[in-house]
Amino acid sequence: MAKQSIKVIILCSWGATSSQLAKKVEQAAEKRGIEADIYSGGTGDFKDKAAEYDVALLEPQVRHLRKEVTRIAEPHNVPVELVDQTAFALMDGDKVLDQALKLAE
Amino acid sequence: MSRQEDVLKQLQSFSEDRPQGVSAEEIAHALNINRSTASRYLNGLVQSNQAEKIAGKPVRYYRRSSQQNQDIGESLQPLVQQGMAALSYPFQTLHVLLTGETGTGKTYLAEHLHEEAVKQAYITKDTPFVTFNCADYAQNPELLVGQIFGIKKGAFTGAVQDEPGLVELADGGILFLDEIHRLPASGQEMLFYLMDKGVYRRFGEATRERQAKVTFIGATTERSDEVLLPTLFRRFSVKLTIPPLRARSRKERIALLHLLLQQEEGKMDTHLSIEEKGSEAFLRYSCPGNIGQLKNDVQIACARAYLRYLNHKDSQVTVQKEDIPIENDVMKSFRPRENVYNDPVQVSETFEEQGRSEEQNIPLPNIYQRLDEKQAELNAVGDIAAGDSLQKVVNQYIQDLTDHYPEGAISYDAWHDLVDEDLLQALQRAPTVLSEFFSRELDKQSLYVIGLHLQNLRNHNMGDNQLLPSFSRAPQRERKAAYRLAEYLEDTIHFKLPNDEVELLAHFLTPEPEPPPIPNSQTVYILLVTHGRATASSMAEVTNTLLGTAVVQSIDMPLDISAEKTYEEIQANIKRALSLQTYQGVLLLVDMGSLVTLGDTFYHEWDLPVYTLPCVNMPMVMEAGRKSLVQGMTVEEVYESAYKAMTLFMHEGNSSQVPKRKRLIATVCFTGEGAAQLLEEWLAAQLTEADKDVVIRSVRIHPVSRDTSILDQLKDYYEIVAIIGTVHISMDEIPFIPAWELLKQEGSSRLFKLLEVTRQNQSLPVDNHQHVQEGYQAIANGLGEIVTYINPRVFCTILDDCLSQIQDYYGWEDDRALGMGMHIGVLLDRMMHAHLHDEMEELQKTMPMHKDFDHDLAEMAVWEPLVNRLEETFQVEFKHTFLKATMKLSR
Repeated sequence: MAKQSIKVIILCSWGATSSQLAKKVEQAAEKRGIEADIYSGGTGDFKDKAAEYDVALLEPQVRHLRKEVTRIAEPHNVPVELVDQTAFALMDGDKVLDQALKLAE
Repeated sequence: MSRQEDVLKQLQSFSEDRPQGVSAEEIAHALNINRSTASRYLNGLVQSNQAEKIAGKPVRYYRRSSQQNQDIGESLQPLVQQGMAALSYPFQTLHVLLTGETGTGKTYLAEHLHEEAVKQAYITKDTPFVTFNCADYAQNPELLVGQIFGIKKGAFTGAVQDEPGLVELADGGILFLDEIHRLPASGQEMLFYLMDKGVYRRFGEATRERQAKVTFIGATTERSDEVLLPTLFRRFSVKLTIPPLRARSRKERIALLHLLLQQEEGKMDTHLSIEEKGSEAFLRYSCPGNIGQLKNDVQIACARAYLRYLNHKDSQVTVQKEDIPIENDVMKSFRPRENVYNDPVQVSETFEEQGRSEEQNIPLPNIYQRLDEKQAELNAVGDIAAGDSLQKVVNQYIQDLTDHYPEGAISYDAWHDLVDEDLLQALQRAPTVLSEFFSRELDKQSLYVIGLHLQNLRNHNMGDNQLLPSFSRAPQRERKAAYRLAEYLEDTIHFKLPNDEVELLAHFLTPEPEPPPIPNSQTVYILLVTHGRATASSMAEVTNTLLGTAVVQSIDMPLDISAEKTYEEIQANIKRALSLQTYQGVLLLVDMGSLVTLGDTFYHEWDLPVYTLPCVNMPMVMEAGRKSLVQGMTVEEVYESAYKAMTLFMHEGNSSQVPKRKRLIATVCFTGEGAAQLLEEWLAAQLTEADKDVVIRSVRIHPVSRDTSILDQLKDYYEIVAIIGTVHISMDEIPFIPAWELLKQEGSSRLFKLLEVTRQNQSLPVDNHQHVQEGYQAIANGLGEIVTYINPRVFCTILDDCLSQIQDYYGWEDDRALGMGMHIGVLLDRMMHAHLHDEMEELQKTMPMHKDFDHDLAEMAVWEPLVNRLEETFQVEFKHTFLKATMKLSR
């Protein structure tokens, strides 16, 4: 029950959509009583702070940067995945949270 | 210059009363110039198409009229006029259908119509004119349709890239389809649809409709109203029937003969002439193959004459009556060519020959070149028997020509697909061969079975698996007959059977004892379990029939039966079998899904080994069945050889290989347009990402006959997931879902279940509850959650209209496009906010920018429609900074 807080970063290009999605995921976590810190940002900022996160999720519009992001994340043992397309389209915070939790396992 | 005009004028005045033409001598005389000068000018006129040359001695010339083409013959003039009327009709595309016996010149007429249309400036010179003979691909309807409409990458095995079709090449012009009746019904439907709506799809393309405006000229030797679908038949507004050669006037035949001789002369480096008797023979024989045959016969005659000339027997090339391949003056009936199929090698060569030639009227390899080459070669080595060798070249050439005109179309039925041609031919004569043994008629069924069996033996390269069980021998009479048949097969098609195979064959010839007993020697129990109502039982039936005994048992697993129930059934089945006979092991042959692991649960149940072999196919069942009959075989050994049969089958890479077929859902109704098309659209919107490979096709079902041949054909190329529609169609193994059922929850869930179990790639995560909606409306919900100022639905409608061209430009994957749509939506929302709060400058500063970012006009143009629509709709300026940043992100 007393799980450690999970740190998730959601990445997009400019930080606008990801900040909105992060908000949604945070709300979902709150509702379910899960301790989670959801961050958002552009891929550019990720480089310096990669080590701080448990999981990184990429929004589909930056899917072409996945390799690069994975390369940065790997040394820090941060798994990287694309945000589920449907969940993204619906801004479904619950589903994205599920995805992040699963990825962190 | 003026001299040439004089010559032309003179020729014109001569030509009026002398249709047979005038010689250079006569022209020279009339104009008072010397003969070689006249000849030079005349040839100049021929070159510029103003005059026509008639081969002969002396060579004669006549004026070629620009209005009327005499060479095509008077009887064709009305046809040409009607055809021209169609091609010149400015308001609507009128399609032309040509019918006529073989060789009457349908191709020629089509080409002529095109030429005339260009000449009379109804169409421009660079208007495409594409010719295609459907008979070239008649053996492969899939490829045939693909050739015409194009092929989508992956539509079938071997389609490694997108291929444009002829329709695309002929867009804006004319597509001539010879032997159009060879088009399968599905192809005819596509054609009809294109004529009607101006749209078509490449083969295997589910959603994308392409546009083309094509005038079709179809040609067929058959009764067009019988061989074409009525809808298609009616689309041809102009129907022309070309008369056979025998119905043409003598005058026309003379003109034709001269034309053909002249064409031959054009290939030679010398003059060609023909004896009076020779030309008379050509004019009088019945020539059932019409102009096509006449052309071939002229070529043969000329080749023979040329050979004499080469051998210096003649000082020039003169066709004599003896050169003409007509049996004397008797009316020659069209020679039946049964001998063509005696030699298997010959057959395949013939087919290849036909397959290679793009169109029937392409001249065969130039015989004169062949002869010259041969002679040069012979001269080089100083061969004395040069004459013989050259004669061989001519004979081969004649054979080629003969093969080019095979008698009629061979009737194709299921046999031809499964059994090699030579084997089939041999077996069809088997009843005669075996008549001394059997008073009764050998029924077609046994021959069918024997054919399949022998074919299978052939495919598996025999030799390796000669270990046949020591089954009881067939009665003496049948054994004798079997040996006679084997001998016959070896003599005729060099197909040698090992002795024990002959013994097995004897069983095929034995009247079937009912029911076939399970052989006592079988030590491995083989149980085939597959999905589907009849798959397992059918496969088992074929194997058991072929092997003559019931070696393979089967359990069908219809989709509505639960896995638990199947499990119980299998358990009971094996239990019963073990109580009747002692087996050394059990081999389960299964296809997929939960069945694959089923065997493991039985492993300790009966204290004997249970093996499971998944992904079962026909050769594996056969192999397992055979091996299980071999005494002393362990279940492991049977397993191994059956497994090998699968891989052997794949490595062979021959035509019998089973390709991974695309899935298809057929929608049916009586028109193929109404309900079926509606359903098609509805279904397309329902398919999830995991099922995007599924092709949806609407099919018309004839109200009276309920003929399912189109579906049958589709079944050959696709895995039909389901048939959905307003007309109940029952086809084995394919579920039918009535249209009304889809309106209910259980109806669509049944369909989705079907889609799920037929998926080839099971790895995709599936979410049956939330289907990705069509287009960008999918993200409207998500945007609705996060935006404040814009209406997401309105925004998404604009994306639907404008984003796809941007996606194409950058080559985005679908999900990236979706993400970009979301990004632009949020960006726009921020812009609205900034606009209202006068924070535009600040917002611009947040954009990630690079100074050296550059873009060209083309990239700009791609974005323009979207930007304009957004600005217009939301009344906000889409600043260049934002666009540039978005472009950067897009790359």
